[in-house]
Amino acid sequence: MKQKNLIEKFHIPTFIVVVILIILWWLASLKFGRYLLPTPSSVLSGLVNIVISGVIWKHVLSTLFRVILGFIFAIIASLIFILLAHKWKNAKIVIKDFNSILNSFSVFVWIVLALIWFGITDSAAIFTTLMITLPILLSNLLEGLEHIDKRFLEVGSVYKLSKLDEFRNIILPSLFPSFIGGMRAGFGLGLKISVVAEMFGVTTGIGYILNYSREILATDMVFVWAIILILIMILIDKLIFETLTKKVKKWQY
Amino acid sequence: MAILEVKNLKKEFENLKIIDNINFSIESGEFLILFGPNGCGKTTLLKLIAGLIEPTSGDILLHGESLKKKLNHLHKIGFVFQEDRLFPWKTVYENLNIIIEHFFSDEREREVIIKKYLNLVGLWNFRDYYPNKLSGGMKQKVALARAFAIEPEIILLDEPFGALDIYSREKLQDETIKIWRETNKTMIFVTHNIDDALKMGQKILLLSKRPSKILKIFHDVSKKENIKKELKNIMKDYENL
Repeated sequence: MKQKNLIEKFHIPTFIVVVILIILWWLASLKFGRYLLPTPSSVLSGLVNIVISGVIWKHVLSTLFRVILGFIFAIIASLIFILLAHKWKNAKIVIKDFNSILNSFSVFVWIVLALIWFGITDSAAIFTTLMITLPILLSNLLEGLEHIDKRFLEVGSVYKLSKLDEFRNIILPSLFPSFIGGMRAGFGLGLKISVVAEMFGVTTGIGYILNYSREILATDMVFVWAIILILIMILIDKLIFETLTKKVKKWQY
Repeated sequence: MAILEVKNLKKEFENLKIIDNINFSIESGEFLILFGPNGCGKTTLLKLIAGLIEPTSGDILLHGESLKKKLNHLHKIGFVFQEDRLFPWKTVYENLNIIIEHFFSDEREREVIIKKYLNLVGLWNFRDYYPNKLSGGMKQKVALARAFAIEPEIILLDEPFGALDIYSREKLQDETIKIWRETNKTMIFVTHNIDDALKMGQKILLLSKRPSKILKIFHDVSKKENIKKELKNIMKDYENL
């Protein structure tokens, strides 16, 4: 029993597969050459180098800055829209329809438009993140709005809760579980998309440095930055979204 | 003087008569039972008294003043539903706190009140629990404490023990009577359970099936066996219809 727990806790099977894949990767890199497939050791040393030189922070922080800012704007906007949708039936119809339209926009359209409108600035990536994550958050919130328990709202009106208190204490907590789901998916996509947006124009960020590494034929650095991107993703998911999910699990039935 | 008077009360929903001319009054501190079959409009009657919906005609007077004229926030009425309806995302303490917040602005005063009523139902030690960790009976006790904690003059109870097992039901009956004696609140208790009706009330109002009318009022509930027989017969009639 104890042994089984250990195996599950440290993901030992995954670990073994990763080791095998690294060996295969190493063998393949010997065959294809370092431009097509750099060796695992050169990727590792590249990673160590940028950590020691501090280059890593410049790009990670500017990417995170853009994604988080765009994401926060999307959260605020989605909450405002959901408040309106809750208050007015007609607003809900409009918001739902526009959400479907936003949902079917291509990521690339936003990137191109952002470049036209904002040029070579942080704003382009921030705007793209906002426009891509907003419909994801909003879809989850709208879905949650349909499932709010009317009986709780009745408690609110029996005890004369103000509209603000009702929104704070009944509507928002009711939406919270589906909102976390939306945030999790939205943030993941936002990070992936803003990296693409960074390939155009700006001179910092993981997207920029990835593309730059390709241009100077440093394929090992492409691998390094890809790995960093994955690590950021996992870290934020564990640190922020899993904590939020645990919080909800505490009271959920 | 009566604390609450219901006068010629009628309620229709889309031409469906739910309540047809009901008249009764209740004295301060009285424990009144509204007894009637399922779907007879008891809950509608409670909602009218709570001010959640408006009557088609007739009036409800609180302290001689029509509910229609009363400022909404002055109309302080406690309500216990069939389900506990505690907010699952709030602890026991917070569940009471957010409800009484706008009746009592002082935080320390609120704590004293919450402590008083949670102690009355014996759940002060569970104040930091989320409802999902409590049994059905405990949750309903918290809901009871919540209704008392706003310190209303009238408390409406809508089949509050309907979802509980027999054991919890008996305990909650005793508990409710105990709190009522200690706080001297006016209670209106809706039920279709004969046991509830006979054990809890001082006065029983017998309602007909829809559209709701008052069939009979039992002012004296001491002759339990007689009333029980009568209620049983009536319930049988309802089932046969």
